[in-house]
Amino acid sequence: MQLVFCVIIPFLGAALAAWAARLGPNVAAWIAGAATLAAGGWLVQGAMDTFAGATLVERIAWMPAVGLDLVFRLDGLGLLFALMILGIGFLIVLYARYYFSPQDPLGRFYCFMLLFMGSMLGLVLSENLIQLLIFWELTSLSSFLLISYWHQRAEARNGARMALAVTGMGGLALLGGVLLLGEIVGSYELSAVLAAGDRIRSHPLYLPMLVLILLGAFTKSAQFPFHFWLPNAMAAPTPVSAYLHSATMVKAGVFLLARLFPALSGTPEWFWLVGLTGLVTLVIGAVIALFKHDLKGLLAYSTISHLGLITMLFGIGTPLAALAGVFHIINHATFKASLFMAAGIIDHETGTRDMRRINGLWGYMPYTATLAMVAAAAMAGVPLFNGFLSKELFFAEAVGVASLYRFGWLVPAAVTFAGIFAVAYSLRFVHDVFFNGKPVDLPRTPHEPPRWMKVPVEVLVAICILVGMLPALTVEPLLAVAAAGVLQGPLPDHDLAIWHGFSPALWMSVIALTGGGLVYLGRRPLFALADRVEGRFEARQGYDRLVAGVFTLTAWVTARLDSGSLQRMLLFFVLSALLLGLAGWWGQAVPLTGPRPLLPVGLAGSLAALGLMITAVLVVVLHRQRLTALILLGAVGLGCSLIFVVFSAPDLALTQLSVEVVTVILLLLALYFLPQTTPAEFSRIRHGRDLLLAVAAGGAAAALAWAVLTRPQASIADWFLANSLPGGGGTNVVNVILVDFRGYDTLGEITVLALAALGIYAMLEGLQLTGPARDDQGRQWDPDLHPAIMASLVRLLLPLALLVSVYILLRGHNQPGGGFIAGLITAVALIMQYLANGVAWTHARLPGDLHPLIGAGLLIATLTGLGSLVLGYPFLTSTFTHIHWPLGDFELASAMAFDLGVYLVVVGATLLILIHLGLVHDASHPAADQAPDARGAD
Amino acid sequence: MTRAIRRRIKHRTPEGPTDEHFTEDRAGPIAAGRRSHEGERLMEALLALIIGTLTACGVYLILRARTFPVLLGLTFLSYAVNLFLFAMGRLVVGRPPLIDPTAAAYTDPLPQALVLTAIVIGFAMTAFVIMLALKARAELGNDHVDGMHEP
Repeated sequence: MQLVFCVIIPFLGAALAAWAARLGPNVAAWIAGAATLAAGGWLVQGAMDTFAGATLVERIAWMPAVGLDLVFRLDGLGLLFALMILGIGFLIVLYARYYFSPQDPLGRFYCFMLLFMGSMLGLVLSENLIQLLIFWELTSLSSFLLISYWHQRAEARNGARMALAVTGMGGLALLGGVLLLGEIVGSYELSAVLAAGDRIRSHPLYLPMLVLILLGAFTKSAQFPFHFWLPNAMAAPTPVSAYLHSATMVKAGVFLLARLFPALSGTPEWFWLVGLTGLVTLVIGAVIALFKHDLKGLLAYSTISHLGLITMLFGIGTPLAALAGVFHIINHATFKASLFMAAGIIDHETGTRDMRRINGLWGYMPYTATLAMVAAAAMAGVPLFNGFLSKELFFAEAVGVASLYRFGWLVPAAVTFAGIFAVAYSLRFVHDVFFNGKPVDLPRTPHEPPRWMKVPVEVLVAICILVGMLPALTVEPLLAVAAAGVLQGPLPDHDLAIWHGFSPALWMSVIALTGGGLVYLGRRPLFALADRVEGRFEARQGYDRLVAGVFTLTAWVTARLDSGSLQRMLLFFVLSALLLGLAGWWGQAVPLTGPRPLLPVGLAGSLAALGLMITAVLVVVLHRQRLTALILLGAVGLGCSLIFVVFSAPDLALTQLSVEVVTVILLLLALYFLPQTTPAEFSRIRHGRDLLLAVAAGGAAAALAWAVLTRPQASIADWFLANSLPGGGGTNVVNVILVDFRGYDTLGEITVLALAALGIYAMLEGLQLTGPARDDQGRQWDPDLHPAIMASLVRLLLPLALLVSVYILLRGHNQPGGGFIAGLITAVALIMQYLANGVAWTHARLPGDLHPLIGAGLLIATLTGLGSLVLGYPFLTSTFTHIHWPLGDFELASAMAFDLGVYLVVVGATLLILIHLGLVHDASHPAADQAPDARGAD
Repeated sequence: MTRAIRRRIKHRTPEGPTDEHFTEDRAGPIAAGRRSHEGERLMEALLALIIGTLTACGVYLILRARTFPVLLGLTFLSYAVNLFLFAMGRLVVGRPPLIDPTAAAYTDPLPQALVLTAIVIGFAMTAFVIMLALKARAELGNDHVDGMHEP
């Protein structure tokens, strides 16, 4: 269970750090640091085993029924990345504590950072590819949060959005690729995938799968032409850049290349796609980096270039190249993270990142300058520093490619060209910032940063030097185990020495170093040229055009589909429903009438049905007289509940009856604020068209109902009927289904009800409406708003009504009734008090705040479900027992508690809706409100 | 209870052999179905017609331009949909799904359970739309469904 802890601890730490930030910035920092160390602690045992050559796979059954497990894997490659994530993460925690100003919310930073750390650890420690993909997306999301940390800045928001869009699209492609890969192999487990290399490479779907996976890797690792998001992500705070954009997240892409190296590499497709992309990115990044005046912009393009270098190494595909790639991952992480931190210090101390203004800092901060110069030397590939070693290996590999192809010599040439520019931009970083005259117009006078801000840089720079001078003693064991993890096989012969004799690679290094110096010396005309073409060849413009195009397209589609007219949309909706139904029926030789025997009907039944239909039509005919139409509508609703009575559905009849009452009251309340009549504003043709459509829709519904009703039925009802009493302990099967068999549905439904009530509450908040002073015929409202006889009678009725509702609630499990119906009855009884006695009078006597009631209802229902979970049964399993009381046999079922929750939610939601509309009423005629209140006090 | 009401209604039906109706009701629909020669077996047709009428009224009303008729139309459509869903369990008279050792058969309880919650959710939806209508009236000063014409 150790790997899963290693992944989970940062997530827990994130929640804790966010919470603990209120106790002070140091507390959050301590928690973040402790979480990082704790996660590392869980890794130690596994690390020992890994160094001994073992691969740890840890499986936790998650949803065994569908074959979903959480599977973690620790091998050399995973270990290397986990160590970098945790090690550099720890340094960043320390560094960030001093980087941010007191007004920056530090808790939020540590929270996001730990979220990212956990996601990244999950990514590198995943055995299952789908699981890996989930963590992959989590890193995109948490990096979005980190880049937009200063969300008040537009550039931070834009940069974050762009990073999310590009990496998110890549993630989508990767999903497709991984699914194809899983289909090819027959398993999503890495162990199976890595062992099936030959089968994968010979599969017809190899190329599409490879392209999709590479799209994911290239977008994440900022490869050309997707590199543009990385410079824009520099709007992030510098600790974020140092962590995500040098050491970890941008390495996720190359991690994926390394991870799938044994499965995918070794084909011409791999060589050309990966190798060429890497080469182009390497050269373009190096050239652009030289011309960036922004300190972090230079580092960002340099990072792009180095990522291209690593990608190209994996593309070359030899075991030694893969080893060199792993080596450069380590080296780049150390020197680039320290350079970013140094850039952060400079930004922190001078208040700007513009290298045209930052000059001559050697005189202000010599110590930081020394550290930065060492790291820059490593970046340039100067001997005795770690960058030199991996670059030498890289040059050697590039030379190896040269002999394979006709124009192969271009490869070492291009690589050397990029090397020249790498030296030039490193030189610029050092010379422009620390020397080159005096600072120009700095916002602040720089001096050395706080002691602890330098420590992380010192640590990383020390690693650069130690690895550079004593590679065999320092980095060799880790490199060996990581490269073995990549190759999943024996290591190639390699020699991490500084001196390899006068090899071609050495000459390339010499050319790069001297050439770089020369380019930097002749920089002025180059800079002038760069300023002239500035912004003209940026891939970002393509992205912007693409985004603008997508917006135009969506706006066009929306404009086509949504004309802003509800009537038109409903017309199309009904029409297409009709046409689809017709299309489904058309051409099928199915008779409309089925063989099921029909029920006889008497005269009374016919008359009642006829009356119902006539009333319905009358509503339509009279709909412009709104009050009349509403009363007739109520009659139709009562007719519907009679239908339920006739056809053996007492529960439905009761529900329909009480809902009808509440609905009509609600509509009456609303009608007060709306015009009392509907104006005639349609042409004859329009009426005819709507009528035609209505009749067609009605005819279709009737035909469909007839077709179903005349056909025999095969239902799963028998199971419910058979199990209701033995399994659910109730004889009212409908209620048992609601509170037991389908209790989960009901829980969802009362949640919807509660949300609807809260939504209505929010909408009514601050709503100001004025009702008319007179009715539609110009008569005054009756001044006696609350007639005394009605008021007194209704008060007398209340206990009776409540008693009935409690009775209905309790008997619901066995007889028609239950929480829904009882809740509605209670609500109606209470609403009657509001109607008869006035809102103010009733409000003074009842608890006005109904939110706790709804909350309690939901809580009870959920707790009932959780109770069964605690006892080891599935969620919402019910239990029941019979208690023998002197008065008789009394049944007690846990489902009754659930029904109580339903009851409370229904009461609370219904009352919340009606009372708050009533309060709006009250506010609309405050004078009239005094009368009932006065009488209530009498 | 339900059965008793029906029985009394049937007794008073002037036309047709009253006693036969009575026995049929007691025997239930399945026994009744066997007598294929019986006339006026139109209960299903009546319900289909009711569903059709309610749908037609609802569709006509939701195509109106003012909020209140649309509200009425939505309510009509709720009735129609609820009846339609309920009818999926077929029509059975006098056999409520209450477990009883003396009962011979029951109607299908599942559509009933579904419709019961549908009625309550339908109420919540209607209430929400009512408040939307009021909000639109307050914000826009008229009750047109598109909120753009003068009141």
